[in-house]
Amino acid sequence: MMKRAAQWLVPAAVALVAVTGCGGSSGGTGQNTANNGVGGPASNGQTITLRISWWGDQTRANLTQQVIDLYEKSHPNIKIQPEFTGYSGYQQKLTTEAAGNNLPDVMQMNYGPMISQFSSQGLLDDLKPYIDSKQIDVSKIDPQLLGTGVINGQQLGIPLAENALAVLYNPDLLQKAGLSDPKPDWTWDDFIQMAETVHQKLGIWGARTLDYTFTPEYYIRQHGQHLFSQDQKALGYDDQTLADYWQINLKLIRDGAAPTIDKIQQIQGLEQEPLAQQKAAFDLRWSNQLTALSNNGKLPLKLAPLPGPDADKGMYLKPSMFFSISKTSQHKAEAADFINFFINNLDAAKILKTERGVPVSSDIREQLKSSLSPLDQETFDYIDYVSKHSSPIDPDSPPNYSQISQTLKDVDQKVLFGKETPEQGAKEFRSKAESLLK
Amino acid sequence: MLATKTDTIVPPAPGVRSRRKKNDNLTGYLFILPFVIGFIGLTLFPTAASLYLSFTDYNMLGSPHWVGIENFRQMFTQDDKYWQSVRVTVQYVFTAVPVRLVCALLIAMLLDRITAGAGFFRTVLYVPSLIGGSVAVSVMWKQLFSDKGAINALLTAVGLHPLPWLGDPHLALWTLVLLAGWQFGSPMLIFLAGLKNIPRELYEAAGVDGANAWQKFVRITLPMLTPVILFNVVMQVIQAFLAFTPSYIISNGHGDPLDGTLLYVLYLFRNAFEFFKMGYASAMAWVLLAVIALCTALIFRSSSYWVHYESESE
Repeated sequence: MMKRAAQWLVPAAVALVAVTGCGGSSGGTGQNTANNGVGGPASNGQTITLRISWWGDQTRANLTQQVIDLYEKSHPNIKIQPEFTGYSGYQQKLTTEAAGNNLPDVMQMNYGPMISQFSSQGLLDDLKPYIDSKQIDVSKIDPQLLGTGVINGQQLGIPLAENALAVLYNPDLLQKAGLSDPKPDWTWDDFIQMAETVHQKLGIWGARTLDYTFTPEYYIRQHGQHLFSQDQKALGYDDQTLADYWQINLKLIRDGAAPTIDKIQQIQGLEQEPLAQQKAAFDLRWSNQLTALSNNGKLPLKLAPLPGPDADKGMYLKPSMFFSISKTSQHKAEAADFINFFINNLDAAKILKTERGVPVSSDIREQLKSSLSPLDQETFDYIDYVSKHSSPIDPDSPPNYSQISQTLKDVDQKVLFGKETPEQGAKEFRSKAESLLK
Repeated sequence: MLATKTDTIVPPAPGVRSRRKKNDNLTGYLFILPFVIGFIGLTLFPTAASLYLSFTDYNMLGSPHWVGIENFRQMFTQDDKYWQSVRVTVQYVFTAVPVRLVCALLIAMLLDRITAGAGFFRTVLYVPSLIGGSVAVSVMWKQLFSDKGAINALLTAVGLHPLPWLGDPHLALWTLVLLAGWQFGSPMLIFLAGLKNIPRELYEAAGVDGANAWQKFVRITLPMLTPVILFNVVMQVIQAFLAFTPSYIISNGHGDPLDGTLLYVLYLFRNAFEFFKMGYASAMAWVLLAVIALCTALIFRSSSYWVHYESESE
């Protein structure tokens, strides 16, 4: 009996979710598009519950909750129910909710694969009407940035903050190793040489091992190519470029200037990162992670653009995340009002600071300037610099992106564990990615 | 109510008796109704649905799209990650099951000797099995084996090199095997019951004939335990095939490093909830079901060669 139960357990568990999925899709999404179209927030005294969902760590949860409290105070008829998880489980959660026809009203969405996946299934509402009726005021947002939330001609997301790739570095460690801060026009050769000097002089890592999620794409872009072709149906670079990227990483590891991949595997959480522990002087990341890695400013970290040559071609500004409204939401006007509050209210911005990135509204940025902490000032200045020294972001929206990204990770591990040469790795990634792109 | 009252006064007519029987049946059915509803709604229907989905392309957001045996074809001929997960799982089953059973048998034999405080030790030793599958223990395990964790501190203390337990593709699976070995509680209890059932006279007779402890173990304990061993092997093999939580937690949910801990069910889960290939994942589940059924059948088939039943020899 137990044996049989055990045998059925796995398919049953998988199917359980699947079955609710069937029910959900036959029920039909998008029935409610007609309700609650454009109109002012409900004011008939009834309490409305808005569900708002995001991914992030505890710091983000605390800050977002403070903004929610602030909003509830000025909107006594609205009760906000927050839902948050870490990034790794976030899309699973939303997908399951979508299958059950139970998406939250407001959802944090990521640029690229996540928002394309949800938009391709018609789960997100077009926000154009709310913009036109000024319920969401976007007049202070850079049009190009706002445009990143447009998919197939529909405004499906409102960017919340701006982000860029950055080299996070520890100026104290550089100074101890007899080095000065990196110049904006530095190159990969400078980067390698500085990292190795730090390693030799101080006996720590020079840099953290480069991460596969964004560094290869930056390297490809700075060489005038793109990860995906324009139509998103093929790869858009030479194998040699990707192989060259891996050579940089391998050289750092071989010379002891960066941790081996098995050390990287064992890092559990940002606080254990070598840079946060002062065991490395450089780390390539998203600029908004400065808050977390500097332990909220306790470690005097700074930001520099990624190494060149032609960093301008590789660098780009990224909407660090969007807020979207689900098509099935019953309270779209209220959801739109909350989004507007989130991006345009000064008190909310004072709470959020740069945790999600630099605020999108130029008014807010201007008004915050006087009260910035050194940490936020660093981020503001950096994003300002990047906005003048970068190229537009790539669309990166092939349907199987999550699997392609997984494939890049697998090959990256093989190369860094020494199971494959960079050339073999580039070839393997091409053959696997191309079959996923078809 | 009325029927029962007449019952007590006059002998029941045949018709009344059958009606009462019917009533009894109805009561019985009512009692099992919650289970039946649960079985149909939560087991039978989802299972049937997953069988259907295994022949479809289904991303959970749209509607399923019939593709015939394409999922199975892709699984067997194109997906080398699938075969990697099969390799890892086979390796895991063939190591974790023996490790756990040997631990269980050794501890059971020790407990069999102890008379004072046996109940206490039994309870304490069973605790890991109760909590071992939980997320909390997996997280603790990850800490123990991390770069600067307790295990490496111990290794350093006795003058050995610390090992990259979770970072090395070959070592990482062993941390899972050790975790499985540590949860020896339920096979231990079953072994213990089996040991208690071995007649003491056999040992006494062997002792009189001059057999030593090892001979007693090999000639008496093991053969007499074979029915219990069979049961434990079957149960543990099934459990090992289905292992998920530890590899999910310890490998950051990905089967890291280098897919060294990518157990079958973990890869199934990733297909379903990370790549949103629910049809493919359902197909994987049905293949797993078939493999487990086959393994169980093979073990049972083999049992006639090695399992010793007391009644046969009489």
